[in-house]
Amino acid sequence: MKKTISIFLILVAASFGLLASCKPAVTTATEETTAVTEETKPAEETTAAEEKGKVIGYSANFAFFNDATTDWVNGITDTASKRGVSVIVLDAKGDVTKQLADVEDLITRGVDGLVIWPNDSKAIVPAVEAANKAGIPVAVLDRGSEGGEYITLVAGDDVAASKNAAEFIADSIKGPGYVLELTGAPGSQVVANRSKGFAEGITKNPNLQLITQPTDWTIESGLKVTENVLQAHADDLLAIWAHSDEMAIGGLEAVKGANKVGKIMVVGYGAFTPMVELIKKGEVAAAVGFPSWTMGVALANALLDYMEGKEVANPILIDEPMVTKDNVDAWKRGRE
Amino acid sequence: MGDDLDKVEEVVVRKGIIPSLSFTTIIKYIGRYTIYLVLVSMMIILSFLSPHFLTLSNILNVARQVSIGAIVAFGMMVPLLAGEFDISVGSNMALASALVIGLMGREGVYLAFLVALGAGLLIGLVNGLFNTKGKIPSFIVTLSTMGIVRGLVFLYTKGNSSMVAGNAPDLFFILGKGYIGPIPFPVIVMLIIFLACALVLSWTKFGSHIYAIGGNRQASHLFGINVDRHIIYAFMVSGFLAAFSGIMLASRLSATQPTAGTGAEFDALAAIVIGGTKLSGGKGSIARTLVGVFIIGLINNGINLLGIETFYHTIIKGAIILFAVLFEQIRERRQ
Repeated sequence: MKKTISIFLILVAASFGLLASCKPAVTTATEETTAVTEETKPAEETTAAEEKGKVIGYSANFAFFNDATTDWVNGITDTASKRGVSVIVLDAKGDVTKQLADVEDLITRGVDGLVIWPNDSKAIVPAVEAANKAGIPVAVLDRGSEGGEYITLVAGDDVAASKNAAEFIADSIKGPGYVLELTGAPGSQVVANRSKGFAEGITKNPNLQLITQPTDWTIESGLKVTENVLQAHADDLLAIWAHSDEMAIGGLEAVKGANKVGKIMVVGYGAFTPMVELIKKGEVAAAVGFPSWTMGVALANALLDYMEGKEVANPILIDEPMVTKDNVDAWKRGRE
Repeated sequence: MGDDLDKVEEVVVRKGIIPSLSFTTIIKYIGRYTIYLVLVSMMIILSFLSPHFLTLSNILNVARQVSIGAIVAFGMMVPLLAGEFDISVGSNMALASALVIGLMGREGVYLAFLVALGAGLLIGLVNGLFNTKGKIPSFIVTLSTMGIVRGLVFLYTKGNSSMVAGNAPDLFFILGKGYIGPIPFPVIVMLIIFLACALVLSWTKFGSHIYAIGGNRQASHLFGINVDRHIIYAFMVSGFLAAFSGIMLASRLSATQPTAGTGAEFDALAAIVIGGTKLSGGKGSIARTLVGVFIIGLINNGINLLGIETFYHTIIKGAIILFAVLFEQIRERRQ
């Protein structure tokens, strides 16, 4: 009897484990999209006869990790469903091996088009080549693939945006003093690009010295690193810039904790909802606007246009404007 | 080794070279407290490297930074001493953070706290039940609950970060941002929990039973100790403290993200191992875990204070941890 119970419990636990690894939220999005497609099909019959019933796949490095990734998923699925195409979203959760398997899976399922947000531009090459071999058009998001063919890359111009942010800070502060750059987890091209752009731009003001410290993309690490740096630079830290809103929020908390609000300028990256509120309140000076929704829409449209036989630009670089108190109301990331 | 030391002691003490305080005792003391020596040496070295290190402000800063991780580590110690792993603590933290921020607006701060802590206890209970009654190894159980709870957090928050409304009650903010005099509130909470755990583990029957179970489960069972119940309670303590630290984290950050606490279980394990506690259970002290937590905190603090370039970070962290544990191992072998 005991053995039966244990076997039963192990099976239950195992199935929990399996369920946990298949994010329910992702399935919901797919089911929702399919349902919507069913409804819009009749309306689309005359205008997009070729696209009717088509399916595209989206292999995401992360599907619902933060506002940007969520926007990408929603931008793609919304746009596709408006054009009568359904989307299968697979979440690799940052695991490059899983992503390769995900793409294989989508190819096997016979998708008509493929969107990939690669975990790693080098590692994704076999997946892209496999899709090429199967005759499936591939569009990539945020970072390219160093092999294989893709019809377009949709990305924000991180280097230019970061340089812009640096110049914004350089113009706003006289100095002399220090600027703290809170980078994302080292190793990704995104981090390298943003650091590169920022380093170029900050030279505009020779009175400002740059301190660069890594974080792990979390609010907590932004807070802790800033607290530590403030110990050494209590009086001469003038500005904080982060590779994402989260670390900027952490940095802001550290500034508040040290009673330096107003004396240290905080600039974020992303300008998502929490950051927009902070900019409106004046607690954060500005943030680089990351138009993730617009990117998702542009990506889906590009892929579907290509599938219809139209010409598509490559790459498609989306503007990342500086969002400040003056223009924050106009900043909608293209969602509304 | 002991014999040689005795002989040396005989010669040294007899010749009056050093007073009669036992030579071997000194060596043994140095051996037993190696990890504390490592901590002190690090502080000495850092104070030379940066003038900003050995200030009251910075030391309190480090103490505050390690406090949340320390509470998680203390919680993990309880089932660990009984021989079981709880790696669901990170996800537990995230759930508590998300719940407390999500519910605070509508339900009020007290109810939000209760629900968050209750969820933590429940997770501990589930872990305990599957481990004891289900006879599933704790690593697997807590690995599964880690995944399930993390998924629940994503479901609840829909993948979005959430910020605390500015008009949230003071009680909530005091936990993470308050002070008693110059000492940050989280540090005080950490010390209180530290004392509570130390007392329970060393002075109560429950504590000695936990050690016994970790040392020899069969024998404990034969002695009449209700092993299953103790382990379930141990997991519940771990779950409770993880949830509590999640609430403190939400308070400290005035925000939470669904990925909060990711890796917290491994940071806690690292602190425990660096402190010298064996992962097999039955032996170890909370004090050593506190030291381990501080050693890691000091490394991070030093790196930021000195503005060390990013690419050296992981090298330095790895090297220091390697050497810290090396000294412990030398001590072990000598014994």
